[in-house]
Amino acid sequence: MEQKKDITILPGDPAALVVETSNLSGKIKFSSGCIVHPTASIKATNGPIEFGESNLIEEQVVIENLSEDPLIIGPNNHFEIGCVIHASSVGKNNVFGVRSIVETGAKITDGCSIGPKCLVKPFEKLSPRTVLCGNLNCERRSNDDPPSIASQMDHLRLVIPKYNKIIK
Amino acid sequence: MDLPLIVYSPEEYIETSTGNKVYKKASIYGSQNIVLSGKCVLQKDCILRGDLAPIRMGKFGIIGENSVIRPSFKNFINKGPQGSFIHVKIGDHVFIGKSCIIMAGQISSYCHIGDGAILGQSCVLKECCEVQAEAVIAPDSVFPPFSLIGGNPARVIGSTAPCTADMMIEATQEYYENFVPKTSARAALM
Amino acid sequence: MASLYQSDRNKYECSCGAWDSLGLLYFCRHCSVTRCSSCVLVELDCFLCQNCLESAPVTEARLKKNRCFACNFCPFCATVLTKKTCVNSGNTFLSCGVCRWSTRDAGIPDQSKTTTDWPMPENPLSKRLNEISGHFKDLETREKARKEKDTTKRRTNFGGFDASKFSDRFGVQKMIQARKKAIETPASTVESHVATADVPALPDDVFESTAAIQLPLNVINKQPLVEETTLLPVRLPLKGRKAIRCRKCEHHLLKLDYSPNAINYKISAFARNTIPEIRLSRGVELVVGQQSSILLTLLNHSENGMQIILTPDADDSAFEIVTESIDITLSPLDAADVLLGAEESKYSAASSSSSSNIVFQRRNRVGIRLDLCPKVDFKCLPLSLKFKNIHTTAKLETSADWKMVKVRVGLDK
Repeated sequence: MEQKKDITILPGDPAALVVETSNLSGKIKFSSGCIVHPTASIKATNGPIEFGESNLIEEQVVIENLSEDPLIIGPNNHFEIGCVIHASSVGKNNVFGVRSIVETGAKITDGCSIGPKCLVKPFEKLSPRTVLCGNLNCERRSNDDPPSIASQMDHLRLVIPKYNKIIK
Repeated sequence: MDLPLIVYSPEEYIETSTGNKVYKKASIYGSQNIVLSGKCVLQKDCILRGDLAPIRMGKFGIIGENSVIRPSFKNFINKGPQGSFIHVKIGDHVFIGKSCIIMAGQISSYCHIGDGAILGQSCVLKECCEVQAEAVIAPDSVFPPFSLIGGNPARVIGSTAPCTADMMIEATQEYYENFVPKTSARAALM
Repeated sequence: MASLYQSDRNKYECSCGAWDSLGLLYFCRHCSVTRCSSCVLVELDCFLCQNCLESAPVTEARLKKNRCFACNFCPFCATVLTKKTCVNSGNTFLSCGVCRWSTRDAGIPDQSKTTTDWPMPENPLSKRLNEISGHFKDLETREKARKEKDTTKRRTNFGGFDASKFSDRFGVQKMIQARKKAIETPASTVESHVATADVPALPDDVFESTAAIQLPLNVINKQPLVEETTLLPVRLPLKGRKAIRCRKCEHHLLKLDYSPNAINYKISAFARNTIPEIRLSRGVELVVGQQSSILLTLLNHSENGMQIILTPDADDSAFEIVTESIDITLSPLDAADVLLGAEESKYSAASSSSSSNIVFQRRNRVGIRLDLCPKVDFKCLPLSLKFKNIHTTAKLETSADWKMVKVRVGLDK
């Protein structure tokens, strides 16, 4: 079923870079500084999705909003390759590791670090600065936020437009 | 058991002059920055992000279906937060399985990466290593030659056979030769 | 490699009776037999840190207690810690990429950029332990000197022979003087430990056990009584690099090049280079009572041609043999042939050689069909391989003899 695309890219400096080869559907709003890599899928199936500033969404990521309430994602989050997000809200400065899964209704606060292949159970609320890691999904509290990706984002802004077409 | 004969339809794959067999619709970005030394096989739906940094692959390299090779970012702390995407070097006779995510900085020759493995940012695998299926390698880790790596987070759980180099040469050459188009004589004999 | 070909399914019998896959066996050319990992001598020729790949010779490794001073394990998840530099001050601290633990969590101060080794806090009892071990070493030298003095042979007393008055031409004087000094110097004294009854009381909160995080074993080993907030990083143990010798003739079977990170071998006596490799060509479906064929591939990895006679082993009576034995000559692999890829011309569906059991023959490999009638469901096919290869002896004059090796080919999926 082809869903109508309604993508708003809010103006700002630095501009958001949404690559044409990503799969977007539904009502999505990108704030300034967001970068969406090719083959990422953002589906606002049942409700709209709003991204804060400077979010980095890498390849094969699936962000889907299955509820009718808007999914509001805070600034400076890093969605690594292959992660699947069905959360109901996401705070700021989080890192979602490779192939991690956030189930429906989960609430992610600020500064969390979800490791590769980890799972956040449905309707679970993660306190700030939680770290999920390892095979057994161990949880621990960290004393500081995950390292900033600002320099990576600056570099990407120079490199991506050279090889990919951007949605204006 | 012997490696099976894999037949592909010639419309889907392109064979270059150096003998590389590449899936036409594979998501290869920045192909100017990607060097395949010859006789490599890039299978269906693989993703190579050459736009971020150069990727160099040795001869007889095999990249399985749905795998992602993506250069990772490294910060230099000399003058404030700066950094760049690091050059990915993959050696000769490397077999990368299906659905792997490779963000490594260097994979030396004769390595075997199992299906579904995840190699973290800037990690370094030395020669003749074997990564088990579904292993998750932490960022910035270094593994010495002949290590058998597995688990999540990945650790050295044993050592590979001493004759791994010869076995990988044989396996990758055989895999390459068994990867034939439908129109070839060998496929007709099947 | 091994998992690509599933070569651990096929076991070869070693001369000691153990069964192992071909990749793990060695062939001693001086003894002309196979050796497995249980019938070889293992030596460690150098020690290597698995993270920084720095090598250390045996003596240096012993001084460092087999630990790398620069690399450390995270106390929570036992992954190797990475050194991170603080942008402002330029000091370094250690941080884990998996669980986000860092040395700052444990309260350890940052180190300056110039030091490569990460310092470990000193053991508070180390001074006392060194005193005691020094005292015992002293006692040891005294006892040794006294024992030697008593047991030396008495030379005949030739007219008032006084050894100390003679010149020290043969080094005897040195020995005598050292012995004298060892006995005569006053013994070192060490305060002995005094037992006290003043023991701190057991705190009550020991019985209220909080759910402790499962720490890795090597952390519990090194820091058994430490609480979560004061966990320290653990130094990485050094790994030894093996060199292998035959147990009987003590010749080297496996020796890596001098450089610690080398993967090339100075001496490599892999069984694979002498014994033909056999593996299943296709999956096999065996039906009890019906004659079925098993397709096998035989490969020659050696540098010379090989003559092979393959016979199924009928000891088990789990199956009835239909094909008696297959006689094959295999040529070695020509590296240029592979690179040029002249596969099409060399490939022949059925060769015109003597046996009708040969399915295909290509370069250094041959596909054969073995017919048999299974009486019961059996999991592995016992075969005996007789082969003739110049490589089996180290002596150049003698011509090659027929050697036999028993193989078990695993049949289940």
